[in-house]
Amino acid sequence: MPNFDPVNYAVPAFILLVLAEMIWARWRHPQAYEPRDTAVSLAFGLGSTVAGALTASLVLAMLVKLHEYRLFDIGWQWWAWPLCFVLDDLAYYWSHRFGHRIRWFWASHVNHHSSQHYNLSTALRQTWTGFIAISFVFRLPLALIGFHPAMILFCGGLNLIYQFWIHTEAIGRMPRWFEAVMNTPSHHRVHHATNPLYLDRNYAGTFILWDKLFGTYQPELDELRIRYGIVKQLGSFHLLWSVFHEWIGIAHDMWAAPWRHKLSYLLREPGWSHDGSRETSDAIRARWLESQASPPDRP
Amino acid sequence: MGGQLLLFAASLAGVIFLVLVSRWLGLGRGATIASEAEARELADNALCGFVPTDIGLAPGGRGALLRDSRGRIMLLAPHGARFAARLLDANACVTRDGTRLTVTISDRTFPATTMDLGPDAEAWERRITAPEG
Repeated sequence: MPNFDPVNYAVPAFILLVLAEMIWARWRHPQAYEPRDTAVSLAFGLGSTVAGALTASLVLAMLVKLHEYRLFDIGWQWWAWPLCFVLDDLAYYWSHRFGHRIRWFWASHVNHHSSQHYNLSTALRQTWTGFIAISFVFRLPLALIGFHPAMILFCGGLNLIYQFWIHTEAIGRMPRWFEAVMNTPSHHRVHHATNPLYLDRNYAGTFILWDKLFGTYQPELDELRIRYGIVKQLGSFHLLWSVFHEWIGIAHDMWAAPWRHKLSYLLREPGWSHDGSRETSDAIRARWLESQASPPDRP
Repeated sequence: MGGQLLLFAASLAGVIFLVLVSRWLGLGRGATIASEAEARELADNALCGFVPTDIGLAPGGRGALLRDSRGRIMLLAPHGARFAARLLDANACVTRDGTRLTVTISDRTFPATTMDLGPDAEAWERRITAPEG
């Protein structure tokens, strides 16, 4: 079984590019980085490689097993590579969308969003608990179609590498044709924003076309100052709390909730509560849109 | 296995190097709220629709307390180069040392925040200990 992970070979480039962005930040935008935030983000990245190595063989075994029941014998044809990449990106879109809309999956993905900064180190802020959040299941159908497991994992690695460079404020807008098709720093800044208009938008990995196709696209507006992070900012640089806070929150909520609502705290959207005491992103956006239609009087 | 350990060790060295460089370059030093308008914007972003009627801004913009017409009080506490907000609940507690207030909230992972609110400190202490509305 050939198994070549391109991400391992990209690590030196990641380090050099983060260094280059820090030097840019020193002169143009010193608040773009914060050393403790950077330490937490990079520790996330390092830990995720360990977590990934521990579970990779299980994911690979599942892909291999499903590939035995494949619908088509695609093999290693040249055209299979770009097709696999595009379909893997589609799978990523849905995995990512569910990652924001189901609290069980969000408990893992929130790690990538909990920094209030948006820089290349944020790109490396990857979860340690992705396996528990079964994010790999969205890739499994590709093996069933007939793509070779090694090809699927390679394309997934390329997708992850593509997404590295879009985590920056150093790049404004790319050429118009590029912005129309590809995910870019501008599109992805929107995705990381906590501004109500931007919540749960732009789930794309490589191709922004998926958001346009499935109705989740939101362009970046120049007049709106972006605030990054999560709706309830962590307020802590403690690494283990940063990793597990949402899992702990789910456990606490499920323990305290009445029996008929317990599973909803795992399976419904983040922010849902049985007594209406919290707000989902949809509710926040709706209230914001309402306030824009009739702005409140300032005292 | 040996290759993976080597990759891990090299990545760890890279992480330490980058964190040291970010410190050396002096990045992300101190969050400040420039004005009451910015405090309003931060509060609205933290809790959409929160419109403060009273704002206590710490000197140098190193934090703020805000109260809305419903009597809710929000703490804007510096968190690295940004701010994190929390609404104070009944379990929040405050201590005053002259004009300096220290606010502790029920969320134990959120650090206690101390700010100098000058002559308004006593009024803010009263609002937190005996909230209206």
